[in-house]
Amino acid sequence: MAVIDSDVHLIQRADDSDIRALMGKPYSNDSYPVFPGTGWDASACGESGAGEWDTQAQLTAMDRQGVDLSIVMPTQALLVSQIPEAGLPTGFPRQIRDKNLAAAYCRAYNDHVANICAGSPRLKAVGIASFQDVPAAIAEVRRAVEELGLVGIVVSSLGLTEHLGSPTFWPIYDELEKLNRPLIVHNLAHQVPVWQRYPDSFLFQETVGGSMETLHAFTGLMYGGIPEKFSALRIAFFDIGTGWIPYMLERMDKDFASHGAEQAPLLKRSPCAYVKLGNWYYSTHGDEGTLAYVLDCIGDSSVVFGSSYPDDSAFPMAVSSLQARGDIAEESKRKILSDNAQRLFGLQ
Amino acid sequence: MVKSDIAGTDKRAVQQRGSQPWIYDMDAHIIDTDEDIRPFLDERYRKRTGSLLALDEWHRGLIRRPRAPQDLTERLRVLDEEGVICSVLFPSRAMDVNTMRDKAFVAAYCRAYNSFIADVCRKASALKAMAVLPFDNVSAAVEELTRSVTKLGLVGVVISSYGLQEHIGSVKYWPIYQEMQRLNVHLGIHNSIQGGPIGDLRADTFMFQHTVGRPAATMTDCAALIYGGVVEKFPRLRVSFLEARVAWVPYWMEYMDRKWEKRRSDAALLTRKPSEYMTGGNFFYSAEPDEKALPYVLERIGEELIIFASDYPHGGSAFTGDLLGRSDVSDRAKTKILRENGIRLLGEEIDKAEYENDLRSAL
Repeated sequence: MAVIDSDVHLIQRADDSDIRALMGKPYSNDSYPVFPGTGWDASACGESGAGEWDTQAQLTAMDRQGVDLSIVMPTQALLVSQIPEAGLPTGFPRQIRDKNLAAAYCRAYNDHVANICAGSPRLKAVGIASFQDVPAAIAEVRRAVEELGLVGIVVSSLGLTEHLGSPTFWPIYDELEKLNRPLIVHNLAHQVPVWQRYPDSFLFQETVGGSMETLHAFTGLMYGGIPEKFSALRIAFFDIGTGWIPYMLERMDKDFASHGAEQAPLLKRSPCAYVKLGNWYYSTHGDEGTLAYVLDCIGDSSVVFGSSYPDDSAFPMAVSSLQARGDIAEESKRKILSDNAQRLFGLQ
Repeated sequence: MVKSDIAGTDKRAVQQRGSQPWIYDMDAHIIDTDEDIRPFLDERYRKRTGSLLALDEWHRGLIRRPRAPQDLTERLRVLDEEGVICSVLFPSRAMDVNTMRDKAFVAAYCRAYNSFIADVCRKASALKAMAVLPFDNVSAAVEELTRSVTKLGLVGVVISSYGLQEHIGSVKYWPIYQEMQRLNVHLGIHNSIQGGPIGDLRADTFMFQHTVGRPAATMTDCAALIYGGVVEKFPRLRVSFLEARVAWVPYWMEYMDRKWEKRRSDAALLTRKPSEYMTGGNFFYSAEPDEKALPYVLERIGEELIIFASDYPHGGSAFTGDLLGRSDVSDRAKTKILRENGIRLLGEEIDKAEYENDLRSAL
């Protein structure tokens, strides 16, 4: 069995100089930051997340953890959805409202991560696309998959002016479905602006930021009718665990029973029934106490192991501690550690 | 919705305690209208035109109109039929009062609502009620809290955090919690359907906002109270999380612990893991009687922390029949959910002999 870690993060330079160098003129010479500052310090004053990407070090870490293949996710490149659409009112400075900036950044990031993956057959990556500029996103999805060999597209939904189920984004999903590559929803904990108001510590922001936004994305995709319109599209929700799934499904089914006919008219069955079709996936760190219960509720074919390395408190024991669990069947462990990810990313 | 076969199930409810009502319903609603509140408002506000409260843009159509708040006869008939001895009334609209910015009016509205609901409660001993407070006007809130409890006999405070200037764990609001602890009344976290800031701009149906708004706001409030150190600072303050179900609780315990392990210095007041505060006895959670996850949650957090909340007469409200008829929840747990835990949340003494009797009759 090839153990797959579906969620490891590319260490990006804080000043984006690694990506910027590939962006071409005029961006490569620009000294202005690519992204609006969030005001949060995710590095715990430089204690974590610092350093440079080092493929050899990554492979060594994978050996220690017992991982054969890693899927590389972006880190701050997820913030690309924060770049405001040109023409919309915004409090952000003019420089970052350039309508080509998001697309140029996505191309450069995808080139960068494809270069890294070329260094080892044990590394695969997903790309990013500018959801705020749909025609450019479609072209980049095609290029990322067909020319760069990336295995999916990841989006962080915060910053977008519509929910992920909106028809605005359907052409992107159509392209992904045709290419047989998944959409990964992976929100970044410290994004602005929706949750900027209440949290007064990074701990608080990190707790509610990614998790609540992902519940929002999940709901938007479902009520927007995506599992009906794009029934072959695989979608995954990453890095917030799995314990929320039974909760949200029951709540959605109840709301759907009362209001679904008029407010989610595209859906022909209950949200829970769509989830059980098996095209929606979720990542687990492997040590969640709720995991066995979740598998009871939704089956064991849609959960994948994703350590979130290097932001991974269980390292290097994440795989072995999942394998040692007595409350999960061996067959389920094999699916979580290998089979499900192969199917999600189309690696078979 | 009250089940149509209620006649069959309520018999079981009543039979459990002979013919005496015994159930504590920790969240029912009055349907409060401007006409109810206006007579209780300070003179200078009574002639305000337009809606007294700020309205959101959603067309709800959820509240069952035929049962008007003034129709106490019908309400009391339902309580009797269901075996409810204590029904804690929450507003339907007044919990949104803190979304408004007119500081003096918000305080006046709260006083008027509290006087109104106290008036309703005087008409039947089974009716208790929660107060609303002008949270962002802290000194006025403390003053009104004291009046609501000592003069009006209200049993707690309801808060919907949407619209507050700071998160509900903020030091700003601590004087309110201190007074609540002193007065031995509880805080009911009951987020309105507006639900919270998430999705304000992006939700494009009421259903969408309803599905995600309240869970997001409630889980945020839970994190705010814990990270903000409220449970640590006010160890006798009791809090209920309402109408958000219970299946989120094990998820959130684990998720917060994981985040906190990495950044303990961001929550400097904590002396325990976040999950330990969630199960330490201060927090109570209302379950839907037919919630599938209930047995699992009972297994994870024990039987002492889950309360019964009918949501009557709002859409979706379910009475006890669904819970009493379940074979996957023990009779002992049912008794605790339907009665004992509610008594503890209210800060009332549980009579030892009565408690034993409850258990005997349930088991």
